[in-house]
Amino acid sequence: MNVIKILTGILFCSSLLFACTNETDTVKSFGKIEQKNHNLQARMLQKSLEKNNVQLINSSGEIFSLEQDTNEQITLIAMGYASCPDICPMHLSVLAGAYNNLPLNMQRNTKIIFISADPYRDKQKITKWVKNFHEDFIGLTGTDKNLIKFQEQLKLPPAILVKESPDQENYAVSHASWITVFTKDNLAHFIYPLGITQREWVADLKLLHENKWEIYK
Amino acid sequence: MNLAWWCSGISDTNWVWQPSYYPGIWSLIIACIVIYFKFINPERNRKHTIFFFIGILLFWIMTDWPIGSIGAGYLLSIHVTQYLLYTFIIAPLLILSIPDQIYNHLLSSKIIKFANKIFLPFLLINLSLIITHVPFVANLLKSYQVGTMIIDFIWIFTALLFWFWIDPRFTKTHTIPFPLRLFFVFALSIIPTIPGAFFVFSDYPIYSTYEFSVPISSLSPLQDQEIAGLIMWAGSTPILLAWLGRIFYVWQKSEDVAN
Repeated sequence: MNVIKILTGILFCSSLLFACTNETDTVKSFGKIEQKNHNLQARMLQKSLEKNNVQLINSSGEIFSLEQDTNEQITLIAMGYASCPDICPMHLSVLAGAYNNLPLNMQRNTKIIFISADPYRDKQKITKWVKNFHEDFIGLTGTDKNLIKFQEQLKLPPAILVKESPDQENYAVSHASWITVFTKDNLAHFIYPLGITQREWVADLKLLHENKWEIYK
Repeated sequence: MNLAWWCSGISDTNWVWQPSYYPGIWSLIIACIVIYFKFINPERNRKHTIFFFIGILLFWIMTDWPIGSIGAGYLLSIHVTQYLLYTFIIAPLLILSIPDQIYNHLLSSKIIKFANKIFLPFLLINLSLIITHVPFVANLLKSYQVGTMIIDFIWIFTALLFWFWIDPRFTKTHTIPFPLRLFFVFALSIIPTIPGAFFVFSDYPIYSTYEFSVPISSLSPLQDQEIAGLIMWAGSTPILLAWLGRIFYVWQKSEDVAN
């Protein structure tokens, strides 16, 4: 009995160690987040990210590529899933309010994309679910392989389906909670954490559209 | 099982129709009932008891799950509905439930006489409305169970004080003239229009508590805020008109008797 307890303890400790190691790797690969040295509410990435051409699809099966379909547009990307109980609807609700407050010309040049990391449940409904928040929002998902590749390219920690058994239908998905923002130069210099108000989003999006964002030396 | 002392605005998960349990609210309700029947029992009559039960029942409905929870963290329109009900219905009902002997005794106390002179209850009820609706204060208080409890207490206490001062039972010992009562009850409807205007005309959600709550309905935080503003503007009107009509009627009746 004691042996089992000791083994369980070792297993638990090693899994914690493993988890910590993984986290460190993620942070390392994601890039060090610097102290604020810019005029936005965002967190600046140490190394800018490029748009990729990983193929994603909407609920109708139409292919979407970040590189081709959002060229020179301010593009906001959020990961999540339609059954998400908290962060995803919160993000989209705030973004919808902010988007409504943007001038029309800025709206036309802004793409807000929500990518479901749960294609099994969301493939058929993701586009409609996202459009519940705003008609202009884009809801996408993809194959497992493409989703992993897409997240890798954006240096996002890979989403994980938290299932206790393979047949479990009501499960959660662990995913990145921040929003990656691509500017007109087709590069992502910034990410936005949860907690940015609509007013702050509008102010920042205007700066991004007018190319008035700046990095202090 | 979701168990907490009091409702709060930490709505970090989506709304589910599964009851939350708030022993703090139940304790308060039970304490009020015990105090009322234990200590006020000898002097009360049936009418008082009915007013008390309706008042305390409404208070319970407004503070407990689901309305209390939704108002604290999900919908501003429910939050302002709570305020209006506390102020214009629950507080007067609780005042009307106090037996005559105790009521007259309280009315002749020095504190009430002092309050009459400087219109203190009127100032307090409006001050509490304004302060508890300042975004920084509301967001801060609603983040905690104690904070939400403080807001509820401030609203109900200042409303009780105000209506006690206005004297909805029109006792003869009261010193406020009828025209002044009409004026203050009417004026009470004016102040809520100030936060109401901010709610309606703002382009953005004012309270982060509601802006960052998980959507509970198809309403966006801004739409919910606009509805809250309209409730602040017009929600109290029918109740206030009824109160003004009642005061005016009693005033005329007393004039007739005097003549």
